[in-house]
Amino acid sequence: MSGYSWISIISLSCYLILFVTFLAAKKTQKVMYTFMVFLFVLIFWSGGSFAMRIQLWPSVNFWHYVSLAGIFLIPVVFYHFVLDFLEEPRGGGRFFWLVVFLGLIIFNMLTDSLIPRPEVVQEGGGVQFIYHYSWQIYVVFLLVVLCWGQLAFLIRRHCKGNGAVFLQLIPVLCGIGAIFLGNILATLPFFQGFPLDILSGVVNAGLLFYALYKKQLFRMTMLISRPNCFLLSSILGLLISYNYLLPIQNFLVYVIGVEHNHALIIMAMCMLVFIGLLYLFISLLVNALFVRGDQQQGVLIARFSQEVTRLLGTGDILRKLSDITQEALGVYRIFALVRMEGEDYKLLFTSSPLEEKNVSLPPEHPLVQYFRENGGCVLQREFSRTTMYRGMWENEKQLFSSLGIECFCPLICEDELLGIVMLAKKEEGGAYRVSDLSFLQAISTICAIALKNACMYEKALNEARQDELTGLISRKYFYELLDQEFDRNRGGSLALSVINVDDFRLYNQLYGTHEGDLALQRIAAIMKASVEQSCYAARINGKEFALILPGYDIYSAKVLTETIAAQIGEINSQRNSHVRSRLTVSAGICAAPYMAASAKELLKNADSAVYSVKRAGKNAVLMYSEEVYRKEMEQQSQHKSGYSEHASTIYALTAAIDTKDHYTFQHSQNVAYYASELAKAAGLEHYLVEIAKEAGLLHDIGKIGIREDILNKTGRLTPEEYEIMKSHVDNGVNIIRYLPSLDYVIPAVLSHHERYDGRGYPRKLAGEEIPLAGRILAVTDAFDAMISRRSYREPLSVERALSILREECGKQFDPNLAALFVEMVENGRIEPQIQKSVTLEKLGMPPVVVPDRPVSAAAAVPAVVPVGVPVEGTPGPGDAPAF
Amino acid sequence: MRFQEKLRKYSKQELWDEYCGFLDLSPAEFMRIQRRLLMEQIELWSASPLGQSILKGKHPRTIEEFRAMVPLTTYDDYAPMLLSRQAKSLPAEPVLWIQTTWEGGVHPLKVAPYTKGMLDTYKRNVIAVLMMCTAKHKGDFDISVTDHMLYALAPLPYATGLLPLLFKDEIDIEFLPPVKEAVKMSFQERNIQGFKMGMKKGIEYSFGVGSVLYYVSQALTSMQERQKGKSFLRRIKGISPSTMWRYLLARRKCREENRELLPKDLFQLKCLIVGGTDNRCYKADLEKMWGVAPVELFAGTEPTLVGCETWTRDGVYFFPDACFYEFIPEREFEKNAADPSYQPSTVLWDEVTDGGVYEIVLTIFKGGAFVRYRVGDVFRCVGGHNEGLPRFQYIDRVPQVIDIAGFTRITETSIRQAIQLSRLSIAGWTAKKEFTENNRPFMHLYVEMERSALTTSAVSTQILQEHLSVYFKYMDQDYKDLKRILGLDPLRITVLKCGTFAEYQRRFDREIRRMNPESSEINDLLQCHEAGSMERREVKYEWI
Repeated sequence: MSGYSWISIISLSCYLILFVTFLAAKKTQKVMYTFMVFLFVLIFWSGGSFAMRIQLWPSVNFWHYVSLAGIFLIPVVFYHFVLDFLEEPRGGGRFFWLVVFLGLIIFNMLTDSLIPRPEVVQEGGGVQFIYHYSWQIYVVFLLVVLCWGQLAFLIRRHCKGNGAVFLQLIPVLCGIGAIFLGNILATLPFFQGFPLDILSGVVNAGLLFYALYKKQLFRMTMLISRPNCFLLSSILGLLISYNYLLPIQNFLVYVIGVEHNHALIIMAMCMLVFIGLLYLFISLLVNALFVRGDQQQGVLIARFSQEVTRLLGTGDILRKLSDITQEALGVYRIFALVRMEGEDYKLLFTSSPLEEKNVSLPPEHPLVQYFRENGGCVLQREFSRTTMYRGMWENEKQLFSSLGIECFCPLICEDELLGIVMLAKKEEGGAYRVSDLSFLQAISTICAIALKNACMYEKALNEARQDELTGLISRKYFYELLDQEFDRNRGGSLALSVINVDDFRLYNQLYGTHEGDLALQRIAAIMKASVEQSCYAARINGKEFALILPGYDIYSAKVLTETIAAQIGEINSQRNSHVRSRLTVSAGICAAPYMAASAKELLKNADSAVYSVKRAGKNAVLMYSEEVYRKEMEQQSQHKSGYSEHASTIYALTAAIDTKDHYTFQHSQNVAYYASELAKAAGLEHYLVEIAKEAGLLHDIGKIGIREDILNKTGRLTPEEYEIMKSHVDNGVNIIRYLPSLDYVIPAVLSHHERYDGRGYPRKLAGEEIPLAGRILAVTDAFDAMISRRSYREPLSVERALSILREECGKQFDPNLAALFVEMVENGRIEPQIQKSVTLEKLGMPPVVVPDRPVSAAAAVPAVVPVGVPVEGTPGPGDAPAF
Repeated sequence: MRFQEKLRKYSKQELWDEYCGFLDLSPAEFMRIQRRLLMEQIELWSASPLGQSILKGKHPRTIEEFRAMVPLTTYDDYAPMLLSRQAKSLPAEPVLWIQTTWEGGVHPLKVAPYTKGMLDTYKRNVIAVLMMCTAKHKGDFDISVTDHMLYALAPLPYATGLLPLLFKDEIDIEFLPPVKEAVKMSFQERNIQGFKMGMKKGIEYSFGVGSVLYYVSQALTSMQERQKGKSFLRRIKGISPSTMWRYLLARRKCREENRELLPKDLFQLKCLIVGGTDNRCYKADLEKMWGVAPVELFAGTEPTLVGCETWTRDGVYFFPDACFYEFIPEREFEKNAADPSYQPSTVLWDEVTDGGVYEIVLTIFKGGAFVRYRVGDVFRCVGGHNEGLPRFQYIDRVPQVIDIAGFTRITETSIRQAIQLSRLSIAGWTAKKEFTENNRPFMHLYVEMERSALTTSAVSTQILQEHLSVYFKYMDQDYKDLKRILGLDPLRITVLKCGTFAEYQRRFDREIRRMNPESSEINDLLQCHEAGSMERREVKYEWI
């Protein structure tokens, strides 16, 4: 190659490479277009120069002017480039300098005075261009100096106090220096003929490219695509081989003696092989320099994506995320926080188990806010520079600092921040690079999707395994777990504690189901807090809980259960707002292998122990034993009908009333008779008929606690006395609740003074809210009271009583039941018990000897309004419930 | 990383976003930061013995509970623990104690603890102040490591002495004179030395109380006067070439305009920062002297650095992370002034209304000692939430305090003490802060002498003024400095006729307020004074 044309080829190749690659790149800023214009000008310059040197058609002079146009436009395009690089909105000289330098080009073309056409010297088959510069060349330099002087002024103004921008500009300024130096040196005789100016242009273009790269206006990997590489190798191959084609052809035809046509084919083949090799070389080079790191990360991301999508456990996903991050970036420690149901982001995973575990970020935490608004990974030092960081607490700052956190990554899926990954420094030191953040961003996104799926799966699983109200293990899962734990602890021990809340139905009726639910939740909270991580707390029934206690023997299970029972007893004493009755529990404990050989037996025995406690008066913790077993067997063998089972208790209670108030004793028997008949007629099941009968006998049992002077008072009751009298309902309930297995009558007893219109007592229930047995008692109780002789009034006639019942239908009484009752009396299906008692035999019960005593004038508590006992201070019948 | 390193590393926009980004917050975002930091402070403060001494066993868990449980406080509430510097009783460990005078207090000094968190916030906000003050528009600040600050404020342990320390941590701005030397100099020496060094090195920033800066600026003129006798060469010795060039041009210009040399002729200030009371009296003069409009900031011993104006100079923007802001509306604090037992209600930062006048109540963040603290400053809200963040213009101290030029704070107690010490037979008095025709503040004391004393002692206005001044100076060092440093005589006396106060009470059925009554009330008082004279003339005439 002659006349330094290789320099032109190299420079032209460089410019073309850059130009083509930039064509394919995404242009994010104006400066990238300006850079392409700059490359275009350089191509003019170098291309013209190259065409001159190979004396391409049409003429050397033509290419000389093309080359000069390129070189004259360099200062002004460079001027534009710098201003665009600085994003400087001002810069009025842009148009001016463009006009000046275009004018110079035209002037030079017309006069040849600034840079004259070169002298072409033939040298040994080659050609050299000798430029004979005159002083006018310095006019061009002067204008360049002026143009760039103004540029320097603009740069200074822009960079004043803006050190970061100046640092970015340094390669550009070096480029100016290189091009200026190259052009000046080219005019010196020493370098005559050597295209130093063109070489300086290459240096300059490289520096500008570097400046753009440093400013992160593009990614190298985006520029270097497969087609780009092929295009580059083709252009480069053509340019390089252009000079060698003719000599090779001559060699083949004239030296070797190949035919002309064959020579052309051989040359074409050689050219293809050369371009192919060139492509291979460029691809390898580019991969080695730029793509390898990205490819490695790409492989890791693909692997992570594959692996993580198969996982359904949150912990597993986070562990995988940690592993891949450590493998790719060598991060010292990783912490992952995931949003919990309470909205806080809690630490779920740490790569170093010894680290601080008690880390949680509330939803209003500045970091959470930052991710919600910005997304994307952020370095701690960048986050600390945000305005949001102002809202950080000092201890939070200290925590991040003590954990050595350098980078945060959000786990965002569908605009929802699921979690945050915090990364400490890299093990090898060094800061996180942009490519690291891109990698982290990619795996965070993949992880977030997997995490969301895992969370949904875990939620569904938990819902299936969890009791909705209490959050404890559900009944179904309890059985599963019990079997599992039993198998797992075959070599050791496994205790089971069944805890049953006493009188819970009553609790619900007294305070409502909402309070009942709250009580269950509190009991559950106590149980959760009391058991170890290896134990399980479950709700196995409405009011029944269970503890599976692996490794516990009976004694330690009993201690734990007693502690829990004691805490449950304290629940309502800690609540100041309302006075609630004390919650008690009956608990039974059994343990394998001591007292059970299977999971089923374990549960059965614990249940038996609970049953024993219930029968023994509730509120105790009992270990299953032989004694319990024996009693259970006895119970089974002696089991009779429900009623006869409790008959003795009921006799005892009714006898107790009779000693104090014979009227009530008789009244209760009457009411029991009416109630059972009415229940039968209403089509109730047998056991409900039994309940109505037993409730009728026991409904006024609370009067045992009423003073006799009030009970037997013949005159008006004072309001205070009236209140005392009303308390017989609560008294009755308090007596019955301590009777084993009789608590089913409590709802009826509790509600026999409720009115259908909601004006009754004690709970002012209305309509269907009143238990059915209660509504039955209300009708029958009132009827019997009306037709009975009382100390303060004569008995009403049956007709009158029935008429009142009819009048009070839908007001005091259930309209259906009252109507049915009236109908039954009228057609003789019920016999009114006027001045006589229903014998216990009539009720199907054995007779009981009661002391003979005069019939007291004292009132029972019929709820009927019009015939009430006068109460002092009350306006009269019809205004208030009365006795 | 120090700020000056950031200057090299980050772009202006990035730095602006870091330090002044809070200006772009929405009110809701601003309050989010406020509420969050208040929760931190509630936690720290409630658990501390200091907090419990006020909470008396209560533990607020929410902001609403905090406002309900904690009464508005004054320094008296903290004095027992703070004056004895019981660090262990505080919400967080203090690293520094800052002090100031406590006029009218039970102790001559007040001290305030500063925690590390407070100082970090202070540091960040100090840089923000510098950026906001030098900015021509948003983001376009002008700070260089080679800048110089003429510093006309008191050194540590006063709050103003913190600034050089905080700046030193962040940027190598040179203070003129250097702080180490300045603490050994008298006020006058410091000013002269500052200007001398400024002539050599240039001055880019000036910072001080408005009144003091005005005085300092005048010192340049007096310095010129003193240099008149010296040779030209001695005069120009050490002056930088650029200042020399400006000096020569300025002298020529001053001769042509027949005026004295002003600081603006010599120095191209980037910003002039003023703090304290009565700045509005000096702002116009300062702008004339320095050629730049002063920027006002709000800071104090107890409140730390609270806020600053921007390039618009139209009100102070509060920092979101310095204090939790509550405001007592004007009607409420007046009601409280009339009946001290009345607990005024407060509104929050996002509840203030445009044009409203408020007394500020502060809770210092980051383990500060003071919560719901009445600093005693009154602001007017300018620019409500519809214009972005609300801004505040400093009006004055609360009416119970007369602050003259940011130097001294005179209370009813201190006036009463001065009268007692002077043994003057003053039967009644009322004091009001007024302004001269040159817009300079002074305290106007309207006094009525005891009738019996008129015949036994000399009680001319001049005697009263001098007498009382002596005792004010005796009790209050700052009062003394007013005269010594600024040359201001802050006391003016008007003697009222005997019986004027009684007449006022008879007419209006109430006593006139002792401190800062309304101008209309003063007019009424003077009318009573005048009317009394008329009545007497009439009586005299009848008697004749």
